[in-house]
Amino acid sequence: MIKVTFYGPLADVMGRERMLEPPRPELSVGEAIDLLRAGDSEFGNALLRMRVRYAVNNSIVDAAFAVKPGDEIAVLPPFSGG
Amino acid sequence: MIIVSTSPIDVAALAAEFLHDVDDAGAVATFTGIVRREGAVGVEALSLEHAPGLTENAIAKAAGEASARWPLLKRLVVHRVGRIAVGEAIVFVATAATHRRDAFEACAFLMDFLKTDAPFWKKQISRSGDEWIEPRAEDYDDRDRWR
Repeated sequence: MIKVTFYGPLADVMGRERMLEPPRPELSVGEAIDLLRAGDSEFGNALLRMRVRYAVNNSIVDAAFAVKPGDEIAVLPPFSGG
Repeated sequence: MIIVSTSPIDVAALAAEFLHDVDDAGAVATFTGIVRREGAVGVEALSLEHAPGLTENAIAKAAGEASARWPLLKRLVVHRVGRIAVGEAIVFVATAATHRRDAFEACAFLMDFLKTDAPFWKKQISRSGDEWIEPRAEDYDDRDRWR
């Protein structure tokens, strides 16, 4: 399984985390997100409203980054600190 | 040093501690960010969320970049998370260098990074309801001037 976590305004829509059963041993972050989006129109709509970034296992990555079972993908809405 | 904490930021204590043991520094720059009321909106507090691990990693990377660009003797980033009331400090950044320009610029660089590129999410709690806040266009411009 791949754990997908959500933060900020996305956690309001998706909850804190979802588990995803990957259809093959390795897939990209973008493909994993598309799988979640396909089954959840609210998530799809939220992704249209905001530009998200991704992290895998606590490092920022791009959507082409490959993930495997046991990895954790974080979906990150626009940052606002300071 | 990088600290992300739910505890109130004691700016005076942090500044005093930072000023200890800076014998080789000719300049220390500090910045304190405060939660402001925004009169018309009537802000009561901000609620800050972070991604434990990821947030600290991202700040550490930016702090490393600051030290690569300016000859810093010391640096400190303290960011508060959780509920932060109006008038309380949300962030404190301190830099020490031999000369003032390096200290000023590194401090500004770190603050511009924290506004737009550090994994924090800010919700404004006000009389009229709660609202997630995104950086302003100016915040992205401020960050881009370092590229």
